[in-house]
Amino acid sequence: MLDTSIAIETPEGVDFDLTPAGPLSRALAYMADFLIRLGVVLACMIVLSIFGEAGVGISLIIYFVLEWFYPVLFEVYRAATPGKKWMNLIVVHDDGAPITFSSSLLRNLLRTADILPVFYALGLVSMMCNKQFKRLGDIAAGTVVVRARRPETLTALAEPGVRAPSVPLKPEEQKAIVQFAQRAGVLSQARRQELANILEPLHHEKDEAAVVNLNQMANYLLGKTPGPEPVREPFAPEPSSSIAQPPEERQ
Amino acid sequence: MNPANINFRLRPRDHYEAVDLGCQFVRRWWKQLYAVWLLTMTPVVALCWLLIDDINYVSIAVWWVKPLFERGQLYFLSRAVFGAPPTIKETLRQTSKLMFLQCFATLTWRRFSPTRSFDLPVIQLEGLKGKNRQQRMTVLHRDNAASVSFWVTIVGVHLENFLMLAAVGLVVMFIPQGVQLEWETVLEAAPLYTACYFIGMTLVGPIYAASGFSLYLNRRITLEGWDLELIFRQLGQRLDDGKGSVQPGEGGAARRVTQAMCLVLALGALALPPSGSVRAETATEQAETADSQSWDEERSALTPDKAKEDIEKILKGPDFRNIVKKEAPKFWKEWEDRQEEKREKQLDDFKGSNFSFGESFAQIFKLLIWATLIGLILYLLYRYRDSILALSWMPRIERKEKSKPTHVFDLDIREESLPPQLADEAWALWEQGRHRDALGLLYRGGLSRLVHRHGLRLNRGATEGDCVAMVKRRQGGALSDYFAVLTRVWQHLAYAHELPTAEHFQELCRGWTNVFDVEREGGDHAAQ
Repeated sequence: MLDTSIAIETPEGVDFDLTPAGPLSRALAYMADFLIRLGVVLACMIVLSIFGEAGVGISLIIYFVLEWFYPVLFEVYRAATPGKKWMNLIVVHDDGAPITFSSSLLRNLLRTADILPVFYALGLVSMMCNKQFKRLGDIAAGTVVVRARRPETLTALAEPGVRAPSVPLKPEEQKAIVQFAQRAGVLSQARRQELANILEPLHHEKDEAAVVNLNQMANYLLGKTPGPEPVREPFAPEPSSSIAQPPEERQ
Repeated sequence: MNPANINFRLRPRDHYEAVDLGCQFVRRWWKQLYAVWLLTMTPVVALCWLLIDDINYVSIAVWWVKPLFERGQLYFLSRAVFGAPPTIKETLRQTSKLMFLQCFATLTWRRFSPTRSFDLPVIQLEGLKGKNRQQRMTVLHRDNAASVSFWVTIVGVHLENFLMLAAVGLVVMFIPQGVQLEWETVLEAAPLYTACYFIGMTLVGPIYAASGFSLYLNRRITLEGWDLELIFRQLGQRLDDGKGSVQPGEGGAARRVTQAMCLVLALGALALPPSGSVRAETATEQAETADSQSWDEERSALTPDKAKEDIEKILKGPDFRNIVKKEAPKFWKEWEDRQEEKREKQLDDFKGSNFSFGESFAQIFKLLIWATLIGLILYLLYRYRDSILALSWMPRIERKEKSKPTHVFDLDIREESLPPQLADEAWALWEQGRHRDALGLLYRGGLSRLVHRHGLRLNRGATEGDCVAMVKRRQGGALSDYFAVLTRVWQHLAYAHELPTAEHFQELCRGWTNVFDVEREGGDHAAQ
């Protein structure tokens, strides 16, 4: 199954996702970095031009240092250059570990290979040939450019009332119900009812009542405490018990 | 369409990530997509070539009708991602019909639309036109999607041209060195540019179409909650099957596997492999059963000899014998020669030029940089002096007295602390029955001699074994053999409380005098 993210398994057997970034985001990030560097070098050249040839020498050194160490320093100390930060990207090792100085230096020195013949053509081809969108430098250094994950913000739900689901739900099902409530502003009303109706075996309601019911379950799953009049069914598990697994499963 | 047949993981994505998904589509079906693209484009190129005289206008004409080629891409992709990829033949047949769909608008006022590939599905897949199309697009363009689509187009245009230049550059690179080419010739080679432009267009075209499509797809997933629908349907199915009752996994791994299998069957094409935890549990269970059965047998077989055998086997195994060979090219000498030539040339240039403020400033600056570089190298040499010295074999190097350690593992090894006739003294101690002190004195004296007379450099954390290894590396011969024996005897006494026999000790004392005191007279031949 095609996906943009890959799962990395830790020795503890826990999976976490990395989302490698493709050519578009990286091209835009590169453009931003390029413009920043260009601006700095031009400014230096203008200022240093009063020193004549010595000024040219210094500007060339500044150009050299910027060209080769700008990405390295930003990647090592900030995980991303300003352009990457703008596109919300970071550079990490293949296993998701923070990038080290040597890998960063290697992946940036190998830009000389990626840039061939001109304008990063080889890098682009390499990116499209690699499942994790790695250019040659990334392959050599064992690094990957991924999307930085922003913590998901949960908006407060308008729906009053709390209702425990009548059956234990799997984590992805709980997530889907919470998402259903969270995305109320994006989904049209008709579509929400249609979606809620699919879950009739869960709540035995129809249309608007079903939507309300699901929203209340989302409230419960988000840990909202019941209001003055708790709407809870007699056979529901206690709120204190773990909802991620059915009570019988715990030993 | 049935969400269960969808060929990619359904979840709402960030717009940029959605574009990446488009790239994954191209990666997955690149053969078909590029075949369709080439088969649609080639006849058009040929036709334009025949009809238009000026070759520059050929590429402009082909560029102008390019949006029509994207329809075939979209037709193929829109079916492939839902689990029914059409054949190339079928795609081409459909493309020839789809080409005429709103083609006048596409090729005139919408030709310069920066959201072209994002908008195409609205007319081609939803079949909307006029006001309906406009309204639908307004909805889809919200939430920043239009701007990402704009960037897709901008970056696409640039990539197309960059790839063209790259193709030209590649050709120029492969011109043999003997052939002299004027730059004008290369710059004016219009057929070369046209051909390279078609290469760039072909490479980028399917990616551009797929990016727009996946952006559109992602918009619909978000707006219509396809991911929610899929999970809700699975949950509904599960509840219907189990009539609402829960089936907790008290039956252990086997039962859960069965459940997973049921789920897989129920989901059809959306089959998920059994999760890692299930597999892990089964493995653990099996291992436990096996353990309890063979435990008793193993216990009886645990003898020191067996353990030793095992240890040796493990030490010989691949975990402890990882030999990595690395080689570096011998370019250093050549590089140095080249630098030398350059430097001489620069020096001549400098001598020939007139003196000026700027240049003298530049010279000062250059000197400063060289000084910094040399300083840095010196600092690094100083900083890592111990490691460098440990690497090199320099027995006669004289170091300052203060750098020598006075104590090694709490033994005082200063020369002043030792009696002049050490071996005799030690024997005397032995006679008195102070065996431990006697052997300790021998060992301590040996270490002291090694440090002060043989230039052995011990670091603070060295163990007895380290000392033996270091002596062996630096000296070899009788000295190192003797020291190894002495160390072993000392260790036996110190850690295992095993006394050597009196004869053995006497032999050690004699050996000590032979090895350590003989070269005081005989000079430093032992050091050689």
